[in-house]
Amino acid sequence: MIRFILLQNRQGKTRLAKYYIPLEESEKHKVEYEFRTHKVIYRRYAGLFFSLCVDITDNELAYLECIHLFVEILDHFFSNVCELDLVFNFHKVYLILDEFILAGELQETSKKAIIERMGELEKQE
Amino acid sequence: YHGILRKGQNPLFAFALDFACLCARANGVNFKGLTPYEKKKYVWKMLYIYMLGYDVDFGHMEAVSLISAPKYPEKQVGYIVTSSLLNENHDFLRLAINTVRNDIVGRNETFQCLALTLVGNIGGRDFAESLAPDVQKLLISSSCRPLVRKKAALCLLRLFRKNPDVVNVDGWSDRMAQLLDERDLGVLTSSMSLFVALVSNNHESYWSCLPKCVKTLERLARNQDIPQEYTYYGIPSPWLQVKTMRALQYFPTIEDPNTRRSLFEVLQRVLMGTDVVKNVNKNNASHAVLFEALALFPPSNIEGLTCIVCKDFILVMVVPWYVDVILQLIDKAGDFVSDDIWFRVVQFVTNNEDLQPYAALKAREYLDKPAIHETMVKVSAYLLGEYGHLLARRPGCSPKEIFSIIHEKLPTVSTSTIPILLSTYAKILMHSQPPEPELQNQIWAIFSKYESCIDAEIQQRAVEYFALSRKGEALMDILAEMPKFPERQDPLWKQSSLIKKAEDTEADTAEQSAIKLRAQQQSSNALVVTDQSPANGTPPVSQLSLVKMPSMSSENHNTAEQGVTQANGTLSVVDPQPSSSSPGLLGDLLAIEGPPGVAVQSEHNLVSGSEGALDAEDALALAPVGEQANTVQPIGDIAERFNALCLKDSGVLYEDPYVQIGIKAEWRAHHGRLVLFLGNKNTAPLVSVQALILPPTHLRLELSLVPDTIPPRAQVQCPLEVVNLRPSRDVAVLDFSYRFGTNVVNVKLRLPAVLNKFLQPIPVSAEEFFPQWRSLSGPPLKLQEVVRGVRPMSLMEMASLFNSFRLMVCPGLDPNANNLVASTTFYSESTRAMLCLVRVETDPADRSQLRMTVASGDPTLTFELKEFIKEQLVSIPTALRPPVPVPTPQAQPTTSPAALSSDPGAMLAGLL
Repeated sequence: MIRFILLQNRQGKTRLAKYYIPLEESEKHKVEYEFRTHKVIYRRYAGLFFSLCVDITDNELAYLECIHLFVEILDHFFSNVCELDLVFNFHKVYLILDEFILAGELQETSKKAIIERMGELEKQE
Repeated sequence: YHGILRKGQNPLFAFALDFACLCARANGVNFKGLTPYEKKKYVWKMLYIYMLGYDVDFGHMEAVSLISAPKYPEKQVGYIVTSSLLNENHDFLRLAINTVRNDIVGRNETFQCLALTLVGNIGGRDFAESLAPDVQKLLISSSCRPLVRKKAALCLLRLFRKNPDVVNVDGWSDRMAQLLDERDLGVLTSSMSLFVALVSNNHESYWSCLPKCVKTLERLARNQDIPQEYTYYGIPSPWLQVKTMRALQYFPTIEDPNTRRSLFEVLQRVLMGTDVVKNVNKNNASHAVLFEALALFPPSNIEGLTCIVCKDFILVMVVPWYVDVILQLIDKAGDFVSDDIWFRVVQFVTNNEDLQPYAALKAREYLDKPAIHETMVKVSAYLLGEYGHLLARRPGCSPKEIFSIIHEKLPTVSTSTIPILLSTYAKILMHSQPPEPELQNQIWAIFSKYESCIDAEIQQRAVEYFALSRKGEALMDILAEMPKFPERQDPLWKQSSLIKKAEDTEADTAEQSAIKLRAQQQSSNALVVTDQSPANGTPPVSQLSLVKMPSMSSENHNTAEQGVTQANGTLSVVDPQPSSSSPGLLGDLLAIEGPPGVAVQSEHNLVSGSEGALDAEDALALAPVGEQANTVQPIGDIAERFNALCLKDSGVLYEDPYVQIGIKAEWRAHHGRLVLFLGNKNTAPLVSVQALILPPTHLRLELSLVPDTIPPRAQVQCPLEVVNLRPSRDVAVLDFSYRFGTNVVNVKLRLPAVLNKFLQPIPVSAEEFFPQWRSLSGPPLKLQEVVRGVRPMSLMEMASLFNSFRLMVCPGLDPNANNLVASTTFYSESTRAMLCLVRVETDPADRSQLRMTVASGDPTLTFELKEFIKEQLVSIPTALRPPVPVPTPQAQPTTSPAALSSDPGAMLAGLL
């Protein structure tokens, strides 16, 4: 399962962080490429690093593409996403993430379904 | 954000102030008095600041209180911020249980979604107990939209992980089967995740779901009824495919022949249909599925599959097909193929005689390709060495032709592959008895060339094969074909060790048993251990269940017990411990290549000419031992083991009839983590076990507690933390002693925490190199020395020697082709990361001398590195093996001067 997801820019500023396991605050700050006995899968898009921490036995390539799918969804939602979109709409990013991943597992892999759902939610606000 | 923290500008403070003002403006009331907009703004801000990395220890209550707001916008903020800010251990969360429950059972779909998401993300045991029935109801409800049900599935998964009892197995298996019939792929994806967790905990109860999984796979593989939005770069949801295959891996066999056939067809489709394409994403996704499919196959399942196939009379087609697929995989995606995959091909071919000529032919065909992956070189060389003679009558397959096409690849391969090639040459020679003189001379020339190779493994093979091949036909007996592998031997130890690690640290109960199950299924090796342990002595099971037993002594090794008939005595001692990571695995496989059974003794004798001398020296390397003489003789050459470990990170450090000490190391910058594996080889316990570290001044070493007693046939692991304080060539020594019966054994062993372990190769471009080189203008930062008495070696050998010590050779920087430029980064606490540059100027007319220049930003480092390299280059006349870094007197403080002066052997040991 996914233990956490992190999105950071090149300066190390966190743009999104979501932990699916309880962690001590101090632990959250010293996450490296290997965290405890999990592995961290990351991908860089321009200046942003997307990291997923998953179990050792998990399928890396599948999660690597999971990052890409997430980026595609963000890109679609913000039409040509950039770091600033994520900063100013970080609450939206959390909403998208909650439609995409739940309980550390993929919930929905259809871009269309997620974008439509976001539309529904926006109407309610 | 760390930067901001250090600067002391704390936005948290500003924020708290802002909030206080806000409250004051609202007439001094508390949070409740704020407008909804202000509340939202406040809570969102809090999350943002928290996300930046600050400890936000206030405002939790406010966030939680928003959950019970009547209107969606506030409720939403409350839910999202709470589930990001808090975790299951926060007491505040209990306050929300009731509201959350009301939202889940309520009629408002949006609220249901919010509540399910919160519970799915941070629900703890409290939630599991009080909410599981409601969540289950939503999941199987026909009136809920898929949107709610997929959330309910994952929410239930979370609750199940917290408390497996919340899912009643008897009642749930039928419902699970129904859920797997789901057409909506979002719900199906979530349900499949839930199913994987359930099945990993207890597959027995979910047999009825197995055909459904296969059906799902069929649907995906054939792209039937898959909406466009669920295909990813043309692949029908790769994630669902991977998940479904995961679930299937938990079932040991498939009994229903129709289901088996369907699954087989799906896997075949996946394996045949996967191609390397230009699009990275498509590639990754299809290979993610491919690897999962492969994991579903071998080795335990492949037996099952070939069996099925036997019944269907298509064995002949299918078995070569498996080999084809793996070879194709290596060819197309060599970088992704770990060693165990090609070991498996070898194992498979060895065990299927019908397949051998076919596999050899395939291997031969791949070698004709202009550029092939190194793994392909390994597997082809291995297969042709073993079975190349079966092709003798085909064009292009004479021993000579096979030899030359393999030998063409030698300059392109790394040190780990050369030993395999040498074995292949020896085998070719063996199969062409009587050999053609020309071929024989060529091969002999290669062996004698590598006799002085720095790599212990290569050197040893070269020496031995050279000696053996001079025996003429006797070679036939010794280098006979590989015996069959026992079924279910699976070199996946590395993975299982990680799994074990995971088990040690994971708390989630359900998860744990799932991982354990995977461990058992994926790596039967881990279980072999328990099989081996004798029924008498009753060692604690926890210790034995997953640890690897120390290998038997070489003689025992030859018994079928290990399954792998092992011989080639000296080779086996280089790395007899199958439990090491990839280099070890390689060693393991290679070690088996030798002659079976009885050949060992004779072989030992054959090489004894050179070994006798070495043995004497070994004893000397051990010489500085206290008063009582050791009556227990070590097995293998201690110095050689040490040298080998200087170049690789796992292997055996020491072995005698009672104990084996293995070592596994990881290095990161100036830190190192070594694990000592102390294995008791006997059926009686080892007592008074003591391990002391005698550290040189430049290393900080911390050895974890070593138990006083090692139970029979058990292995204990003792982690050793290493910190490199400053550059030095001194070596740490392990003073190890134990008592077995009346024997008190005490040995002092050098630990391979040597200078080169703290190097990290780094490529430099000309633009980086020259300014740096010039700026370090002269002594003491840049030192130059003419080194004489250099071991004769070609420039290429020297380059590979440098690379093996983690000095990266940068070709093209020096216009003179006889020169060599290398760069590396050295890590220590005092120097931090420091770039080191090395230039070696050789004289093609006289290979015995060269001029070396070493430069770095630290005078000690420059000096130590220069001396270190020199030690590696200069030949020590007595040694057939690579020179040894010098342990200084302080590294062996127990050596009394008296002992030194009286015992010439000890003196020599001190010098070496």
